[in-house]
Amino acid sequence: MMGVGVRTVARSEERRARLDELYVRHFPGAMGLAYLLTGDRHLAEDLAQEAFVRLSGRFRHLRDPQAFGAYLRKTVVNLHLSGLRRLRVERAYLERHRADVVEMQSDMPDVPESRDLWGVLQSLPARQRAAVVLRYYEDLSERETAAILRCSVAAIKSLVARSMATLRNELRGEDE
Amino acid sequence: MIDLEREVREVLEQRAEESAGWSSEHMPERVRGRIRRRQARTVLLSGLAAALVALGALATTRTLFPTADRQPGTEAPTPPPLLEEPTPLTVVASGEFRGQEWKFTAGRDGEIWCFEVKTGTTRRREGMGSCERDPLGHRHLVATALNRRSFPAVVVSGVVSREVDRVVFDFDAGGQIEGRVYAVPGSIEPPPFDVFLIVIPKERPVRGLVLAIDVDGNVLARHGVYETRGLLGLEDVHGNVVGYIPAQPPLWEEWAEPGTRATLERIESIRHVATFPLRDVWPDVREWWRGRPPPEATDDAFLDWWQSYPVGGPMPSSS
Repeated sequence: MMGVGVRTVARSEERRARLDELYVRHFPGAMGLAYLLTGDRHLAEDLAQEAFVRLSGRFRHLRDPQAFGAYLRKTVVNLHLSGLRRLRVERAYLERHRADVVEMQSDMPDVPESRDLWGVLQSLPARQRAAVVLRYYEDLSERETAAILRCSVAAIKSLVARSMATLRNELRGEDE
Repeated sequence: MIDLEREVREVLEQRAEESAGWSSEHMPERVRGRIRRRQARTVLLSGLAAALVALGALATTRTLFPTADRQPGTEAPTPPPLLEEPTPLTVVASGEFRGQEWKFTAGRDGEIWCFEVKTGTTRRREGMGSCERDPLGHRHLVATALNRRSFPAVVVSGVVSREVDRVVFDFDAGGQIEGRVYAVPGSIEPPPFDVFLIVIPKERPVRGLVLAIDVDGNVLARHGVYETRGLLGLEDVHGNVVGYIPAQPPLWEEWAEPGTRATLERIESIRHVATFPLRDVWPDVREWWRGRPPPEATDDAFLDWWQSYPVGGPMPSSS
């Protein structure tokens, strides 16, 4: 009986050590990706932690544990996009009440808006931004990006092309 | 273009580096706590599920064999062992197609629903999965096609509303393949949707529509499945392929989605798209496409046309 107890504790310690190792190895990358997707440090932290917590529960069931980083990346992107759906509902509500909001804000001074590349990147729609980040930061192929965003390779080409066109137009507008 | 790509890469790398110092060197205790709480909750839920399954099995046995557990030497059914750490995905359906297996799994993890389709042999298995908080939304059909070179069929799977009775794949070239709608198994709290799967052999080009049909034979929703073969798909807001545009610059930059609430800022794009020689337009949108305004028409005429895209859209409210 004692032996079983010792083995259980040892297994628990081993699991804890593996999780620690996974955290150290993969969390900073997930955090970086989450930050590029959200543009906000606190949101990024929440997103990366949530993804890590969810995935750690399934770690033993992953077909290829070596691919933890890839799974984590996918979970971050999926969580980000599903979270945005909720935000879109909130935004629709705000749009319905936009008249009130405009009236309330009409006395406020204009805030100068930074239109540098990072600023324009952040203004891209979520899926476009995700496609750009996965292609140009994570260096994933179009096929791999399509798998994560669950769309066709053609759709990825289109998302990236539209993003680049927007960036080019916005930056050109800034120069003029 | 290349310069811009390089700049984008540099900016992304710089920003990502900023975040490098934000995570601690060891897993913070609050993250560890969340993992523990999550595991405890999952084990609790699996325990409840296992208990319900055991009770169900017992009740079924008693109904089918009223005296079975009272006969000497006959043991009562043993409840399934409690899983140490449950697998969140349950097999909805599985089968074999020309010697290769396919498997469709689904499950709930907290508020998130996860689905996965895998195909292939035991030596080489490929798959595609997704996790969503609200996979159906206000729609009748959400479909994804898995098309692997190594598997001799396209596997279309997804979720449908409870009003959907059957799902078929309707080839553009004629003919249909019947899919199958399944309830999501093993849920304590059944979801407000069912799942479906269609296995479409690749003997001929897989081009057509997934149709979600109610018990009266009405088509509630459709989803286009097309192989793009190097061409760029022009999709509507619901991901349905309307037609194709040759994938050559500068057309990529003129991409636009029909049915969206267009604004005057996009009017030039819409005018430009209206000049495309679209092929493979959905049967339901052919009339719409033919009715595009002539180049001399007003901006308003183009906007009205763009927004009058005729199919898809949210599920009508039952209220």
